[in-house]
Amino acid sequence: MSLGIIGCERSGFPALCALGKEEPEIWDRIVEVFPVPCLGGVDEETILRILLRCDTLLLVGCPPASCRNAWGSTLAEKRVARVSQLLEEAEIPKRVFCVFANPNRLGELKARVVV
Amino acid sequence: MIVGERKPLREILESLSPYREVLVLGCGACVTVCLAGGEKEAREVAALLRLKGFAAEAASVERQCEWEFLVPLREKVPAFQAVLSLACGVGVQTLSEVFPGIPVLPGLNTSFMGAPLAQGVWEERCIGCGECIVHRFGGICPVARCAKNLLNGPCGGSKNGRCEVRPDRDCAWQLIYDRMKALGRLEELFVIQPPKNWGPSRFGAQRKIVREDVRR
Ligand code: SF4
Ligand code: SF4
Repeated sequence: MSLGIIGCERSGFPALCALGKEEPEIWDRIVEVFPVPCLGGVDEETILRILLRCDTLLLVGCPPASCRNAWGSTLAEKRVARVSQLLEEAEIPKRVFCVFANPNRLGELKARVVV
Repeated sequence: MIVGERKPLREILESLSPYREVLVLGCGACVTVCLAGGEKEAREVAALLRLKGFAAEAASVERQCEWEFLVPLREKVPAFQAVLSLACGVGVQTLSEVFPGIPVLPGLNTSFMGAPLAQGVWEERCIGCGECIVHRFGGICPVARCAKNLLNGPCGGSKNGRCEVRPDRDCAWQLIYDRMKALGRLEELFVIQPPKNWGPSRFGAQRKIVREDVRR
């Protein structure tokens, strides 16, 4: 299953790089990586466009309680929920998830990325 | 404003099934404000259609209900097998008239004329009855807002200010009473309202307005 990743530059993307050092084989599955300033700026259409090129998309950002931009991760969760609903409604077998991580908190990301 | 809702995707996909190249066309007016058929929603639906294997593109115009705004699409529209319009029913029909050779499919259900009450909440305010009498009721329309369209209300069934037909809705007559009381006009509600003239309403033939003073 191919994987796309949108990671915030503050936490998500550095977390992905840290995990990649620990488990280099993850790069074989990852077909798209987009570092963004904040997950809160990623809209539904962007998510759907990237899904065209992968089976699963992860939006990796700061844990909501310590989000650099306060609401970025919360907004991302809402949009991911909406996109998931749209995919289900259209019977499209693709998946999108929010994952909260930083270089010191890799557990959730690892569980989604490492097979 | 006109308030609408996107049709279920299953219905949209079914209506688009004979086609592959589809233009999803948003409208920049009412349906943008009610977050159902603007440019953003057109881009989303087009992206979903691409995931379903369609060659779909998105575009949007200022107002789909006026042919002048459709003229810039003269070359674009014929390049597609069908157009999925996210405008209200007026926009869909104008589009079909301007491009008679291209199938135009509605992507929205046009719901009502209403107002936004809060983020994500819209409520009906007017049915376009053709002869407005809202001033007699303190500015609250019983035709559109009372479940029984009573001009001599209330019906007697409202409870705690809620309508007996839909308890999740305000009783229009409670609102009328409260407003007339605040305006010091309560006695006016004792005047029996004559039957409404439904002649100018939508129950006759299609309505049309011709203004000779502004015609060319
Ligand atoms: S009286 Fe008629 S025109 Fe006036 S608000 Fe009610 S429905 Fe609309
Ligand atoms: S409860 Fe109020 S709004 Fe509902 S039908 Fe009776 S008068 Fe109309």
